[in-house]
Amino acid sequence: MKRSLGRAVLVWLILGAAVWGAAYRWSLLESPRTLRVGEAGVIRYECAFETSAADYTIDFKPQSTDSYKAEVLTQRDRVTSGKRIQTFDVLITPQKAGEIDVRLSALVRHTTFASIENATIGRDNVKRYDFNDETAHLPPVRIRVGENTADLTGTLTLEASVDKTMVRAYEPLHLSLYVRGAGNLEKFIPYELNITGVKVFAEAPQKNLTPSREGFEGEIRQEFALVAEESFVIPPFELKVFDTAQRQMKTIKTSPVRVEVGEGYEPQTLLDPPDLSDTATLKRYALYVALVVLGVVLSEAVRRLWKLRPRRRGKPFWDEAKTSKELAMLLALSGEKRYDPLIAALEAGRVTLREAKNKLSTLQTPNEVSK
Amino acid sequence: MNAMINQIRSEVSKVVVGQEKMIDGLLIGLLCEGHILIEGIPGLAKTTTVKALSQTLGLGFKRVQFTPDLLPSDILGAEVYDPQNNAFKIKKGPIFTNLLLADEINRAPAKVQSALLEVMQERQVTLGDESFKLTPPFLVMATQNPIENEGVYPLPEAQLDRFMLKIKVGYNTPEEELSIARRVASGVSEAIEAVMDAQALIDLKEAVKKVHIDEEVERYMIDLVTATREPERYGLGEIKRYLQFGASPRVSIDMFKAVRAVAFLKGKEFVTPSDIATILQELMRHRIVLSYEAEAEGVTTDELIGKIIKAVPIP
Repeated sequence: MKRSLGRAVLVWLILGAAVWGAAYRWSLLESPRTLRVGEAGVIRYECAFETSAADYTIDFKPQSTDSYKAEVLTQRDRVTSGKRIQTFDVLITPQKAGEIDVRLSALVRHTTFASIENATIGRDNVKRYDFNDETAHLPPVRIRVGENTADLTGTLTLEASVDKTMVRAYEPLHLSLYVRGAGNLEKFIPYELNITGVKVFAEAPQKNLTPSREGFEGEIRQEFALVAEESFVIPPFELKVFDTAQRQMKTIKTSPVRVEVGEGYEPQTLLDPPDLSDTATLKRYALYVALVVLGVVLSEAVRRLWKLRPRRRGKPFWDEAKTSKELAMLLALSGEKRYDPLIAALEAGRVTLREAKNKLSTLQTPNEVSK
Repeated sequence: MNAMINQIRSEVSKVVVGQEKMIDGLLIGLLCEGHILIEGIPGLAKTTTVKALSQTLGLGFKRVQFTPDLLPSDILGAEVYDPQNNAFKIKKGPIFTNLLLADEINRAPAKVQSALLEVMQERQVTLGDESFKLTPPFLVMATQNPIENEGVYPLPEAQLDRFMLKIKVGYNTPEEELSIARRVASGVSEAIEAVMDAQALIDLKEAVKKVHIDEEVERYMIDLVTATREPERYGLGEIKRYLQFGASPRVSIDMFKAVRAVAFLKGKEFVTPSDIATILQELMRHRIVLSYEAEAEGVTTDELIGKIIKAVPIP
């Protein structure tokens, strides 16, 4: 009885919380007024509940449109004075110039009484959690978007470095190009480097980026290997950037680099010439040659000797007999009737052991050879 | 006497090429009244040889093909009801003959094999409450496939011990095989004639009994049998672990008979140690029980007999 009463109270409390604690309010905390195409801005929304709202979840997946790209940058959840507050930072990147209205919505999901009851009672046949869903329309934001013809937008730097400025002909030179800073770095288009008389090998850019309020921040590195026969100049790399700090268009570029190419290596210069005037060296060479010749001669000799070696044959079964009697017994044990005359001769003493073995040798067939 | 033996060999050779050891073994069994077990893979003229020998001897011959569904009464006979006389009468089985060929004896289960035990030892058959003595000579010549073959029942030790000799039959030589193929392909087969009668056989047996065995040779035979039971006495301690049971006294009894026959077949009037060696494997190979260790290591009784004969001092 007491247990049933407790359960009923628990259900009533949860139900009461669900009925009386449902109120929430969305508000806009921060938003940009103007942006350029490709320039990222952050809109901050806040959802404040009147209770701790433990039975609420917010499913917020901003929808992008043709005019802008929207994605959640950060999401924070805190309870202050027993009230739950959720904050969302949404990264907006305009795709078109003009005025855009950002109208986002979120799904506020309230856990149903049935699912709470299932969890409370401990039913093990509940297939899924059930929610009462409500779509919340977030406060609209209007942003004026300006034209942008820049390659990239943000606060960026460009840097080029070479591992050396003097090389020999056909000796590779390594050039590294760095784009660093914060902005829409995901839009970076790899450089194509063409220099007359220089063979250029380019690698795919290596990106080391993390999301940020500006879009991304970090570094993009592009590596080149240059091979030339004659001296050349690496032209300056240029990047047209809309600087979001100074709010103006500018072109950042690297300095040209002159590379001096000297005479190439001759093949014969790559190896140390043998010092034939040194007798010790000559002796060493002679020893090497002699060892090779000796090895060939020895292996041939071993091969021939191996072919000529006497073939070892298994001993015949009667070979271990030490007396005539033993030989007669072994021959009789074999069960071969053709040995009968020899056995009789051995037993009568008409032949000696040696004579009998000699005679057996002439009768030998492969079948009689013991393994 | 040996002329008669040569005649028998000659008649048998009309249908059997080679296999002299098997023919000699059968003759030894016949002269000593010992039962013979012939082992070999199918197609080596085991049955043909036994049949030819029986025809040569002019003795009664019956053949029983052992099968898995064979019953003891199929061999021994049974009491059957005679409605005319309102009584049971004895219906004698094929065992009532002189030479019984038990073909593929290990195809039949143990109960049928055991039915032969009394007959082979006592040479009498008990049907109902009546015992019947068999007419001498009575000889069982059994053939069997190697136990590695499919669908065979190994013979029990007690049954094996009742066979005087176990002869292993091997392949013919290439020359012999060529001769067999030509003979069979030509379709010409010579008729076998009986060259003996019952009295002649009795005379032969008497002649065998007269073959002399020196006391030293007798002791040698006992030593060979003892070596299978106590190998360490003859410096063969290393083979003791391979032996579960040595040869039984029946081996000694049969050896005394068989070696006389061996010497007789060689035309000798006395037994020499080589006569013993000639027949020792056939006498002992089925009567020595190997240990599990020997089975695991692939040691055969023939190998152990070879070691024994080399170790026991020869007189």
